[in-house]
Amino acid sequence: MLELLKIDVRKYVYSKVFWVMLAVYFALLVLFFFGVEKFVNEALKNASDSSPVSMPAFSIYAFPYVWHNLAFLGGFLKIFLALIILYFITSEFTYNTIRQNIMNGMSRNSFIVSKLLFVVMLSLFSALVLLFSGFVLGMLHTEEITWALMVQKSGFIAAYFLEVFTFGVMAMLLGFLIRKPTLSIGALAVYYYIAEPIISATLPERVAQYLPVEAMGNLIDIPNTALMKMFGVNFRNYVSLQDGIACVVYSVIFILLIFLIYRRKDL
Amino acid sequence: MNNPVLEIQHLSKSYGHIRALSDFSLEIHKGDVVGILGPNGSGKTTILGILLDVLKPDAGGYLWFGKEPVSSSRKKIGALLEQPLFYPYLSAVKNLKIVADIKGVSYNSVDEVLETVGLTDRKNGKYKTYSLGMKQRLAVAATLIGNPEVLILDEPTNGLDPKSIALIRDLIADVASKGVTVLLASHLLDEVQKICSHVAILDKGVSLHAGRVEEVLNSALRVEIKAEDMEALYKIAVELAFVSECRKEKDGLVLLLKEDINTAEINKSFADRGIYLTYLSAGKRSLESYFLDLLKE
Repeated sequence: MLELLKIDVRKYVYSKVFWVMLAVYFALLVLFFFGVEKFVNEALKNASDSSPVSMPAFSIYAFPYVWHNLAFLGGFLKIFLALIILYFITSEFTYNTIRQNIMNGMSRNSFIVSKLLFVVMLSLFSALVLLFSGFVLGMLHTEEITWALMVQKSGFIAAYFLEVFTFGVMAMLLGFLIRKPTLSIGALAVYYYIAEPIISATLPERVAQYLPVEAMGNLIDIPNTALMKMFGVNFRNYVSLQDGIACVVYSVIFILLIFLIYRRKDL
Repeated sequence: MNNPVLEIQHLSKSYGHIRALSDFSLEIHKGDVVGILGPNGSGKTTILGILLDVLKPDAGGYLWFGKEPVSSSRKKIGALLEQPLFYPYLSAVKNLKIVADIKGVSYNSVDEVLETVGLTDRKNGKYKTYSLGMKQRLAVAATLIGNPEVLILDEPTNGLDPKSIALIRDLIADVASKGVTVLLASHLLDEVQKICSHVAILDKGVSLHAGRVEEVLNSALRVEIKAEDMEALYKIAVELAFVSECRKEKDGLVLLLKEDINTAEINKSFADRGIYLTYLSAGKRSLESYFLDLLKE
């Protein structure tokens, strides 16, 4: 396993494209995390001005809410992470290096595992950025910091990891199926932004909530803010087990599909 | 006991409606240098692809080192299929280190094999900056990583200049002399004749002949004859007992003989039947003429 990771890392660590993409993703995440309060505060202020009741002062960065808030935000950028995954998986087909890897003595399954490790590493990276950003922001914006407050709701980091990982595995499946960079990126975007929303609209809610992208999105529900509460909407502020299970099941199905397809496929 | 290094049993493979390979079988022993010959699209690469698990056969199977093939058996094989395949943004050294990692061998041989193919000067240059010939030489170098027991080379001299062709040829001869088994697919018949001990000839996915190179070359003598009256000459030639095959070619006849008969005997046979030869040329067949004859059949 470690050997496979080492081989895979060798393929990216000297690639300029990889570092540029990762840096852009990192910058976007950090910008999102650190910049959002300004935006939300502005909105709150406007709402407060026009509202008869005064809004309580409330930082979205305070422990323990920061985990939920950032995890929710980070979810919007998972498409970018999928881009990195697709770019590097399809490049193995573009340059046919997957063939040479297999000829050199890597088994087909090992190759797939090495790419899975790549998805795990990127998802971990994303979750770590969330962890550090949340930690820094929480420290700066919480009045009375206690351990209990800090770790409370930190389960959202795990849920975030699962969300990003499941999406990454879905991208991986598309990469292995389509093999062409632009086509597979296009297919993912079309499914994510167009196809699933349409399918979802035609299905009853209790079924639609289990479509892959919806299930991933449901994992971390919209955070409750004072604003939301004011409008009388109350979102889930916990991770539901059944959404978690749905994501795990999807990940397992996607991974098994790749293994199954590549048992008999020509490279 | 001399177990075959490779046993190929009844391989068949189609791409859609096109039958790329039909019932191909072959046995290869340690130290053999086997040339697989055939025109473009005859199924050479398909066979090698199947043996390396990048293509899946529709039927049939193969054994490497007497066992059902597993990925670890490929670690003992150095392979170049169709074209060099490397990560373009990595240097030669970094690409070869990945090869060594996959094969689970040390990096010690990386510099050595680069030296062998004359790429030491450019070893830290990115692969994408290499010329076609350099890429091909790097691909040959990669096959030598980890001292393989078997080399599979598909058109290894593609895109190379004459000097590099000679280099690769010497290299193959050198590894073969050390007991490495070599499978070489090539159009260059002259090459195969020079280096190979065995040859398998393919056309449209069907094996036409497989055997030792000398057997092929000695299996029939080739004689070219001419006479004033070509029609009469042809009629007589096809009747002769020692002629296995007779074919009209340009302005003469080509005879393939069943046995080694001296030219005087041949000349006499025609004279006895009332026709005098104006031209008679005999010689052992080259692999090329054999190959072309076989494909015409």
